[in-house]
Amino acid sequence: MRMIDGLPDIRRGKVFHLLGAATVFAAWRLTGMPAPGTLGRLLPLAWAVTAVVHDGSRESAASRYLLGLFLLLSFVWTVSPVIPMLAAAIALTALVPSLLSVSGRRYGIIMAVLPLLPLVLVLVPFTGDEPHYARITESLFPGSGGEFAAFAAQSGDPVEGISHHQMLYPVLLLPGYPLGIQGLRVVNLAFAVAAAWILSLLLRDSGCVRWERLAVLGLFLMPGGGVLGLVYPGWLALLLLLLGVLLHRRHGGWLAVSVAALLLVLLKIRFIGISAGLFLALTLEYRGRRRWLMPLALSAAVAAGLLFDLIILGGRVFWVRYGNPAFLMTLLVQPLYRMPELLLSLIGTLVDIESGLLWRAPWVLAAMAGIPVLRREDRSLFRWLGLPAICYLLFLVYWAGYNWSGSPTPSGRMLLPVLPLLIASLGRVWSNRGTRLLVWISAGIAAAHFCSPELRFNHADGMDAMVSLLAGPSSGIHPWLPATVRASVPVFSLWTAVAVSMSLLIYRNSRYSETFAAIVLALLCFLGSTTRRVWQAEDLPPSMVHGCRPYPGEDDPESRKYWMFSRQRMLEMDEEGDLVSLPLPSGADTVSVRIGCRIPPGAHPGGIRAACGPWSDTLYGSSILLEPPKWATLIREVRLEPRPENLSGMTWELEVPAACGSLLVGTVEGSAVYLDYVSVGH
Amino acid sequence: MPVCTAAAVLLFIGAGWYCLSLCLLAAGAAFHRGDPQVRTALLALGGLSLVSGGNGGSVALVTAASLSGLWVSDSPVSRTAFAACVMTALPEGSVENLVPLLPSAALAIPLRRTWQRGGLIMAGMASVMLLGGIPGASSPNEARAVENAGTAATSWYHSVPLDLSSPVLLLERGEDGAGILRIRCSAGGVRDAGTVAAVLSGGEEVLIDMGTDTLELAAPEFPVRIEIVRDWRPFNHPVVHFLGAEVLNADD
Repeated sequence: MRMIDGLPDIRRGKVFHLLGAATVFAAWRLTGMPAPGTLGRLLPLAWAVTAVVHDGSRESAASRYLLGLFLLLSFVWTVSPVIPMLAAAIALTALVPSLLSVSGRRYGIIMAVLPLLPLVLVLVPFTGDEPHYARITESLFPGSGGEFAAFAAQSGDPVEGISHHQMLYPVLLLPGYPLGIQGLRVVNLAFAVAAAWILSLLLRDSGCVRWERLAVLGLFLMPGGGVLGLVYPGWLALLLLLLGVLLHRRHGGWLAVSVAALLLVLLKIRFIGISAGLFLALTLEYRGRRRWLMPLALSAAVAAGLLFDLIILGGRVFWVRYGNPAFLMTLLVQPLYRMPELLLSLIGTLVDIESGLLWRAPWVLAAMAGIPVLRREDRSLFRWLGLPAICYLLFLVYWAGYNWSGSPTPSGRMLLPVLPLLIASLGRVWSNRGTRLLVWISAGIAAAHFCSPELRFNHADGMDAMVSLLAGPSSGIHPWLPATVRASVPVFSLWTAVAVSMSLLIYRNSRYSETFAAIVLALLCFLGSTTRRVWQAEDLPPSMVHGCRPYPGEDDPESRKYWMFSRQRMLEMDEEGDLVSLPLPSGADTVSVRIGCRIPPGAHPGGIRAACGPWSDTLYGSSILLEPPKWATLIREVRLEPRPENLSGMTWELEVPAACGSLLVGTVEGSAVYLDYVSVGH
Repeated sequence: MPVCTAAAVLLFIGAGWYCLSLCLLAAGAAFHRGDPQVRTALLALGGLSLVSGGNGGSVALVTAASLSGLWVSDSPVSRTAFAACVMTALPEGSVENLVPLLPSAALAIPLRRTWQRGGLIMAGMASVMLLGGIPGASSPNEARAVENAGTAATSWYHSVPLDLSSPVLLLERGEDGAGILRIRCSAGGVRDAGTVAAVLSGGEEVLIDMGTDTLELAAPEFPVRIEIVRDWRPFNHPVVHFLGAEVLNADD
């Protein structure tokens, strides 16, 4: 750094980033870090592009420090597989202050995204719904080569030949199709940049001082960064929402809002919540007779739209997907019989470890603190961004229930419509204590997701990809993390209380807010260092499992979508050699062990065996076929098959001599057993 | 902060060199003078070291954090704590080849300018690389492949990348039985056409050269061990992508 101390400040930033690019590239090569052809080139490229777009002002101290930290971590990368991932994330986090400073320039939002462009286009696997959207776009292109023909059908399609995806979005992707996957992604990146630009204009109009920086943060941080440039309609929906709001705020009238609301529904039925919120905000703006005429006109328009779809379009938009009586009955009985599950899902959007915002976007806690401030300072903006967000969130949870997360597609993508409200609110508490700490942590997490895209994909099985990578399967942290699929009321309550407390402290600008965050993080880390006692069957690492198969075989949560009771995966044991081996804690003569399993009923009762050295014990029995829940019988006649997911769980408690060191759990004479969990020394 | 850290470390982890190093890191962060964001980063790395333990990963993270603190902190007390933290890695023993770095850490304490300390630490890192290669775990990290034993043939179908941070993969099988083990893998990342890794089964050894390979072991003894045999060298990134394996009957 001393070399560039003498440079005038107008060029210093550019030189620093060029040197940074060279440093990252050289360190990667010299230390032999993995993925030299992809990450080892794309990260230096991101630094080099930042040098090009940078205004040349002095670089931030944080960038210098983080570059140094990258060097030190790359130096010790061979010690642990986690360190290369951390080093790459830190190298990208070091660019965040520069990207924020770039945002203040002309076309700053576009320039701030350019360094991320190669990472998004090259690194993120083309998976989830992306190839299906590409296939629909391809079908619209005359003479297309059929590159995506293999993705013609998808789980969740209403009938063969009709996708559950609608046509408007694939049509808008047409300009990018000739350039292949990268072309489709660039079109989506353009949608995202346009949405961020309009958001920045809204924030500027509202009197927010850091409008460009906040918009760039919205693009980079999760959940926005998680689908930045990917072929998903979330950012386009935000563009339509924000464009409608901006035009209405600047020119008044109902036309812009109505067109945006209609396009949102045509884009994806799921966005009907945003449309409802827009109309609600419009209604609240009217006074007198117009306030009452508005809902009537809207109801008439909805009815006309449904009739148009039914008679003219043959039901291709709404009726073919959602017009069946069972689905409509499901919507009707949800509030009566499934309220706890819906409530859990609603809280899960914040605290769920796999898809909730808290764990990959802790800046959201600061944003939540800013919501009352936004409401106080700019009630109109609060209404126009808040009502669509709230209506969408309620609609998502109510409509999709357990599937609100959209797993295994990128975590948090379903919560994108809440982003404008949160970003606008974040700007109101930017100077409060604790906000920057949360934004820094969020930037680090977002950078890790950009550098290691596999962290974005979870499978609704209770294990988060990032926590699993960092802590490993044997860590005691897992039972302390809230997962919707294995819901624990105390754990959910604890984390909800922590999140609310943190938001309150930031709202009050308390001097304890950073201390509180540090204590919570430290406690989490210490819990992470403890050894696991409760082993869920699906979490057992390969070293502890011999034979056995996960049930169901596919990790896609679609295979568990229609399970009516617990949706946790199990381990199937049905052969002599199928075994689970668990370490026993030392220090006592005996260890309490609890085993949860299901044994299908048959002619002869099956059995499960626990052994520890010469000691062994066996439990014979069979599970009971459960009655279908009442809400299911209200929808249609249900007769449950004797499959493991429909059987009652059995719990076996036993005392095991600890001297032998490890416990073996297996089946008796090859009878089928489905293992749920094993708790050792509870 | 150091006292709280010490209490928490003793409660959750117990006494030991790593415990001492965490306390020294916390002390260094507490006395740190300079950019407050640095303190956040130091504590975050200390916390991550607790979570990502195993085979020296914790010690490596704490050592890297301490060196970064030693580099940027304006407080001599803080720098002393950070240097002492680096020293504890030596008796702890899970990270090898750190010795040439220790004189640099000690000499950096009294230096008043950041660039001087940075230069000295860089010199220490260079000397480590020149004298014995970059630091590594004293016992190599071992990965295990997920076995699918439910079908007619035993198979391991999840791909696993092996590199110098995780150079060993074990294929385990619940029961021994006759059959041919066929392994599909892809090796590369080196600047010659030589051997990158080896498959070890009982007394048998099969070498994996650069390029894509399908290997067969006629009478495998489990666990079968796939191991990168290249040591660290600059500009080399030895890697083996294990793509899958299956046990076939001899007449297949």
